[in-house]
Amino acid sequence: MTQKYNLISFGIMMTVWWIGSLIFPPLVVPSIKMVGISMMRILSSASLRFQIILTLERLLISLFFGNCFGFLIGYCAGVNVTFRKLVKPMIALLQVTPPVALLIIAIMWFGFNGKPAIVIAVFAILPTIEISVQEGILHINPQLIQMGKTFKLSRELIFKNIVLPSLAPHIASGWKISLGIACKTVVMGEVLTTSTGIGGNISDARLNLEPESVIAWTIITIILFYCIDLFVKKLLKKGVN
Amino acid sequence: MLIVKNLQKTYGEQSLVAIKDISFTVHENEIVMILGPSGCGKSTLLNIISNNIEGYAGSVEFTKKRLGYVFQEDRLLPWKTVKQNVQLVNMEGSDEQVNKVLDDVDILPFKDYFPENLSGGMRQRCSIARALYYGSDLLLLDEPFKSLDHSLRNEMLKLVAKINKETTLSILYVTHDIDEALMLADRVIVLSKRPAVVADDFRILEQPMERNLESERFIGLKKRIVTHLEENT
Repeated sequence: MTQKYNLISFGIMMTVWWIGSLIFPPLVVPSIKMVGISMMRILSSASLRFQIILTLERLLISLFFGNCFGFLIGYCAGVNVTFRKLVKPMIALLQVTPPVALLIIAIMWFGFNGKPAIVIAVFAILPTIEISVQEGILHINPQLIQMGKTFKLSRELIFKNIVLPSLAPHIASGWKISLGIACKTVVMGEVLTTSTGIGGNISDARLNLEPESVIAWTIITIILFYCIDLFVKKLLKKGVN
Repeated sequence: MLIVKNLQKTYGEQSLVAIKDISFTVHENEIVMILGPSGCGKSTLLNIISNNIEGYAGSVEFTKKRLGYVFQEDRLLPWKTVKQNVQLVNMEGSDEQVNKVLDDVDILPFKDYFPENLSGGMRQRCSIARALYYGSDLLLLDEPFKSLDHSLRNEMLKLVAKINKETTLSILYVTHDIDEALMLADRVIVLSKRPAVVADDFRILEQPMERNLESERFIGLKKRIVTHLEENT
């Protein structure tokens, strides 16, 4: 049923795009065919494929650090009231700080390379994961923990069998949101700070007035998003089994 | 096996006394029912015995090793199957041992079911299986069949009696249901309303679950319990 709606939604988007390309000049709305050719060009070129790998690498690094720090801070904030009170204003600050402002600072620290893109993605992901994990900890059924203690389960067993599965739905939704944020911020960071990666190539396409390339790189970013999401889901499912 | 001496628990700054000067003993293979009105502190008593509550006066001495608990709510992990829920409390046990315990409580055919797919009675059977598989010497039961209908509750009480008969397990069972207590107990301890104090303590010699509660003796015992409960309220 969901697949059916996904297909209908996809069909509507393609139709709107097709009608748009008939009405507007290719410089404003390039045709589906032009974008398809551009995508083929990217995927058939080894050097351009390497650009995708570069972005993927930056994405994975930022996801790793953002999720690790977010989980750690969220977990501590969930179990310790004082820490939660201390961290709350900092997380609120991070939530409202524009990524571009952070990007400027990161450029001053690291210069014009891919690193500022990673830094802003980490800071953009961190609050989402932190809040998800913290809320998850606060919503763990205390009766289940008491059950574990009554049957003298070790801390490790309680964490593995009660705490982590209780957190899973919160982590899953946090992960999905953070992956979307990471994709957007890493590419944005690349656009503004480097000529490499997907963002760097989008920037080049803008300078060369190639809107079909911009859209092609964007579609590749979206595919990247779904590939990572699918991979992590399969990994988690395997872990649960 | 379990010796409770002068137990007293107070809550908060206003020193709300929940239980006061409670003493009793549970011997091996004995079924002791703690009977008292709702909210009198029965669960507090079990939580103190099971070390889930700290900061009380008096002493609790447990001479054996393991203490199992069947809670009011089943407290099963929804993401684990019946078998996995039971296995969790004793990682050293074998597959055959788990299956035997599940068979003892008539839940073996449902071992791969998740708790959400089981009825209330089945979930409580699983909860009992978990406490048995833990290797308990003393089983604490906190009104576990409160939400079940009459016939299912009777079935579950028979199961508890069967377990007690076939093992050396002692049982400490709290309830507010007079019939339940009279039907199952070797010994009944009646508690008053808050603060809970021991109002009565007597033995029943007839076999559990084979008693006629309509007999003169049991009607007399019921009246005695009701009088105690009314006197103390």
